[in-house]
Amino acid sequence: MELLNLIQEQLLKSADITSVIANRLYIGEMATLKGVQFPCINIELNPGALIEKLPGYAEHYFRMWVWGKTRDSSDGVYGAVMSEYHNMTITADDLSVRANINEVSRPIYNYDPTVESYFLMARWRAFLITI
Amino acid sequence: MGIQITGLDGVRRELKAYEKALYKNATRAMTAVVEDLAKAVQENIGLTDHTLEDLKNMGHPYALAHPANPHSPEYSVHNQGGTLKESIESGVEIQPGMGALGRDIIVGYVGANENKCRYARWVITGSTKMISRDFLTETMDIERDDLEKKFKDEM
Repeated sequence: MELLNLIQEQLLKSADITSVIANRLYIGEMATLKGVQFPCINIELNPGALIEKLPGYAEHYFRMWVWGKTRDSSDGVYGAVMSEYHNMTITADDLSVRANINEVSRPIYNYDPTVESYFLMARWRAFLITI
Repeated sequence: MGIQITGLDGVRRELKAYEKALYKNATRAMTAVVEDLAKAVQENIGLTDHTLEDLKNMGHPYALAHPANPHSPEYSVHNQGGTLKESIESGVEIQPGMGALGRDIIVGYVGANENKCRYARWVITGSTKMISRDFLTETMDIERDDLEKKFKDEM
């Protein structure tokens, strides 16, 4: 299982997150996605930021965007992500991979008038272990 | 009857002098590191191989319609009018009492002044129409090992 699929699978287990975004957690940059509905989260690996440490062990950086109709809404969802997943180890349901994930840069806020949505972008790191 | 230990004042003076020298060296090292990082950032936002006309003819490669970034590293940014390049600011400052046990800390920074370039935030975060190119943190990632080595060497 790929890292982003693992994160998607695990974040969608949080009732605090899905109560707002349902299952709308997309993989990819927003500008490359089609048929997106809001509010939502999208995640993408940082280009070129994979650092192989040892066989079966790698360090990745990824970005997370959280979109909402208000800044409070996106902040609330991100707060749930932080409280449940920051510095936490997540394991795939099929036990194939495990990752410790943590926020490394505080969010940058913005507003996209095209979709009338506030969003934030934060940078995370994952220590990925292939089991 | 007792034992008298002398020399505490001298030790304190030595420690104070050592601390002062440490801050001086660390400030110099941080300044050197920040200069290197600012230079690397400037290089990564200084592409001149495509004009606006070229990018238009390429179908706006950073946009939704044709998300095919023509560059590596992917966070590189073209220099058109020079606004973004001119907005890059860097420096070193001492923040009194902000460190552990109330010690001063030395902070180096490289960033884009949004008062000089209002679209800098958009380039970094991206949008529904434009891919993100976080030229600041991505440059930091790439340069991190060299910067750490430089800091140690300068110290």
